[in-house]
Amino acid sequence: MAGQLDGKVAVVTGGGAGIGEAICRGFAAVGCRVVVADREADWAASVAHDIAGLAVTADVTSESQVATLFKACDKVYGRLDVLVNNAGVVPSQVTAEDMDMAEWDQVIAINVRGVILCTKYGIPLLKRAGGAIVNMSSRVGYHGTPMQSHYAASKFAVRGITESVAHEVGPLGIRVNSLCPGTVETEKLHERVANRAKTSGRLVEEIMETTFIKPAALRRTIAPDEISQAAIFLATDASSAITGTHLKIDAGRP
Amino acid sequence: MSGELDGKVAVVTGGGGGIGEAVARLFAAEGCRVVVAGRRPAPIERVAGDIAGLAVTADVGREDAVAALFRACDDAFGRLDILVNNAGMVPPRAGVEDQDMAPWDDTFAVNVRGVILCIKHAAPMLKRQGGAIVNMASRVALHGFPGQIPYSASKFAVLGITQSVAQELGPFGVRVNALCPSATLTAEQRRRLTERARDQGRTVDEQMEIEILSAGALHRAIMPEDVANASLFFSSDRAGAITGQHLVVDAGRL
Repeated sequence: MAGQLDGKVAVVTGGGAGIGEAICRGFAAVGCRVVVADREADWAASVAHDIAGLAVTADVTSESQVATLFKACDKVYGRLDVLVNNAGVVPSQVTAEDMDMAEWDQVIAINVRGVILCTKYGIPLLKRAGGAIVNMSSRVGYHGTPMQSHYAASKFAVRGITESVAHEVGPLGIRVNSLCPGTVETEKLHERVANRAKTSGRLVEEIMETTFIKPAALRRTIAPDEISQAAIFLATDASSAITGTHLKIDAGRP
Repeated sequence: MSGELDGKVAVVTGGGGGIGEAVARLFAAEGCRVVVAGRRPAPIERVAGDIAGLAVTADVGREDAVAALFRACDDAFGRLDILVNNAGMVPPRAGVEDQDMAPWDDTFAVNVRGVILCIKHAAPMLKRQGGAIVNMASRVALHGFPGQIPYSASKFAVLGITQSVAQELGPFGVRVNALCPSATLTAEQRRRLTERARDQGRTVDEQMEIEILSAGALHRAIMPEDVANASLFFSSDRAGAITGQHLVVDAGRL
């Protein structure tokens, strides 16, 4: 599989940890030069160091920081072929009647506004030679789940952006698709489940089993690298006829 | 990418031409041993000859023929890792009031009954070590198309089979996914396109522009190789966490 992205340049937002980190490492392993963008400077620096990429500290909700991110990419590499809009936040579970609107606004700012800002500043570079955008939606971007109305709204919106922008930039040779992961084993997931265990008095193992593993046809969770493999597929010419669509990676949840 | 399917064995139905042929050739190039199944001996023997595969004449609508197909695979290779249910037919276009039930029944025999028969007889072999099934649905499995009622209904059914069987076989490590290509530029599709151009008094180029190119954001036709690339992705370990899904390959149609 080596060299599928030889000579290409990618920007991966939220690249400092979790799925984003796996994508940065996966892309680099197939020859891509990667701009690792993250709000956390240390995380971005650590991943970029390992893969000889470029670390850029950026908050995707800030238009000036997003503009600077793509300027940095252009200055250092002189091109952009792939944009992975991965930066996102999974908020705490809360019912609609207890919704804290400050948290709502922040979820929408990062998960939705961040995607359109990066798309806005990524396209002028991408259209020079054509390219691909991979947006991180979620299984929850298809199926709203209780106490996640903010997250569900944001991830449905990501699919909306994907379809609209795909039709807009298709004639420029830019493809736009989204990935909809189910339960991915990241540190953040383990933190969330540990919190849920503490507040509900249930065991971590029991929550994992009943909430995530048993409902999946393959009876398992998903590794971050598996999302990376799908992102590579959507970034390469193997998917050159695919745009405006979504792929669920959820180990077969009904 | 070489050798991604080394040591694996695949059955590809409808492997004598079009998408099935492209799948058989790509899989063989990736190290897979391929059983090329089809109704007519000459085309499958040509493809199997080129890729050192096994040609088996079989009508997927007939249970005895399907049982014999998988027995032949087991006898020759002793295993089955991948089943690509590609055999299908496109009946002549007709409005709802003019439905002739003979082509309706033929369409369902091949496109639906053929899929479940192949799965039924492949499942015992796939369960031995796990594997993958790729069902060829169509873009009309998502959006019905005037004049194509039986075809559309049959492909909706393919997605129903995909989702049901994915849940059933997931615990055995067998993944089941579907592809939804829009009109793919096979020899057969060119022939139908040429006929429609003649019927409507257009040149073939004009018909191609109207029906295929201008319909997609990427302004390009879907080639059999595009669908083969997506089949390879779904069949490989890169898609190990993906089951019960369908991927649209349509160059971005609205």
